[in-house]
Amino acid sequence: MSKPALDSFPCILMTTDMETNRLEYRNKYATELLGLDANETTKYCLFDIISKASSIFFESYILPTIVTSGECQEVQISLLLNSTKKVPAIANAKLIESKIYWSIYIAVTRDKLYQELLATREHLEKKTEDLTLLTRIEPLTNLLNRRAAIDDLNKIISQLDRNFVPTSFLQIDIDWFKKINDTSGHDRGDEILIDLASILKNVTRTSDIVARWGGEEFLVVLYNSDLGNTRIFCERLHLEVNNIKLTGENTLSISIGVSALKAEHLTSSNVIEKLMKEADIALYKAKDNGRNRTEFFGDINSN
Amino acid sequence: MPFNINVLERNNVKVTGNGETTLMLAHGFGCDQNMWRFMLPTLESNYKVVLFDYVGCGQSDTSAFDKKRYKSLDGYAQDVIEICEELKLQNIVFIGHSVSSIIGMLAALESPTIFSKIVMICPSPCFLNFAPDYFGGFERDDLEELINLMDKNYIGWANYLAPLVMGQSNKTELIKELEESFCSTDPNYAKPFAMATFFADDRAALCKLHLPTMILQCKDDNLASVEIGKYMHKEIPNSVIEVIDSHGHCLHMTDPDTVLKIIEKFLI
Repeated sequence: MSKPALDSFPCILMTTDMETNRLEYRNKYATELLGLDANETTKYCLFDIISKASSIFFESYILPTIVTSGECQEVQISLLLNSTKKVPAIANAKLIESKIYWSIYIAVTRDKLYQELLATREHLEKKTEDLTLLTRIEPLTNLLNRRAAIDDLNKIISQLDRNFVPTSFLQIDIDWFKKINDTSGHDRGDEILIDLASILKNVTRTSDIVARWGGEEFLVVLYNSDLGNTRIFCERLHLEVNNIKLTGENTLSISIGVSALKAEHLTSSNVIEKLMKEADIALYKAKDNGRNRTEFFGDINSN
Repeated sequence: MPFNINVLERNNVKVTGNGETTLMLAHGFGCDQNMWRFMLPTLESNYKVVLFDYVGCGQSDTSAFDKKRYKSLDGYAQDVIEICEELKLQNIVFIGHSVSSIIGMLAALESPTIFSKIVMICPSPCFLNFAPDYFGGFERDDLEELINLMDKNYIGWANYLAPLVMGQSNKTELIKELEESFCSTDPNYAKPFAMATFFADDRAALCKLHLPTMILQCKDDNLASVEIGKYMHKEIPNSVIEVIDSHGHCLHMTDPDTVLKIIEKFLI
């Protein structure tokens, strides 16, 4: 094809040397668009006409791809017009006998669309995260809701299946909560739920599950905690909760029912229901035995 | 709650080798613990060696990836600290490649008893230029554009950076090897790590690190120049520096024997 014909194509046509990166041929369109000196035929190198980020991209991706497969198609780079102005462009490059043959098209509009797509993706990711969080959190106490607790429990169970460590289930119920609501009002009731939630958050670790199970009931799952440790934990929790003042001399108290997850439980398909039921039985026992105390399902059984 | 709770499983921790001294080998951005394979056989015969993958890299449990936690290098330092706690490691030697040198430093500052010595291979406390005082090698604009190009070119991040960190002058087969160890890197996890790595500025923390520290810098490295190594040596009070006549950003892969000799001498 004649030189005037190559000069008429509305895209950059050029060749660079694979070793030196020297610009050895360019069509007229390239010279004009890039603002190069038409009289200088050997002065320029590839890095004079693309941005620094594009140079890194060339060295780290385009060149190795060309070396490995002989060509590199449809890559976005930034051209430098008049050595300063960055303009997005799409390049195709092919290797023939240590020379790289380039065709490069300006892609300003296409880049705008890409930019919009990236922003949309980021926005959607953020929204999804926010919404996922909203579906997991109980809004009054900011603890996990029942559904999230079950999700997390299932994950813990499958981890324990691979690698067992003792884990305790605690069903917690606020003592005389209806009475508190009736005498001090629902706002005070809500405050108490919030205060208790914050105590539960403070005394647990990030590896534990803390959830509002419903009404005035809470679930705490202590990961890697044997019964000895769980006993100490419950004693401390009772003391902390007793610091919350109610009317007159009264202080808040809770009842706790504990069940312990054993390795043999893991084979059962309804392990969560089973442990929750055991913890619930222990909780009723704690209520029956005068409240403000912890009962362990294992103790009830052995008696 | 963060998943996986089991730290050793989460970070794909491997403990191998025999010796009185324990070494922890920490890989850099876009890589995993396989990067140490050229040094590992020698190290295993003299030391107890702890290997791991950061969450989001290699064979780690990606379900444990927490965008907030891994937004900054502190999150990765937490991985290091938690592994040490889990294995009850104290006074061990930390060997970090590239960004892991800085992650190790952050871990040491937060948890001062876990390490007794630190080896930094091709480290940089900050990739950004702050003229006229500091030249990390890149303008913010360049790095932002680079990340933007990665997004728009829709290609594996791993493949993208492999030759860059390896250095152009290295043999194609070595680059190929490096690419292979990169391949498990998912863009969802690699991008936050790239952002945390490229936009970090931990220069101010250097002078707080009082552990004996060996800085190994490569003479020709696109990402971490000799000047950056010298700057770190000046800032870290108890440090020594060795400049190795080689190419690229992966001395532990290109020059494992040289690196081994220097480390051995440093540990005596």
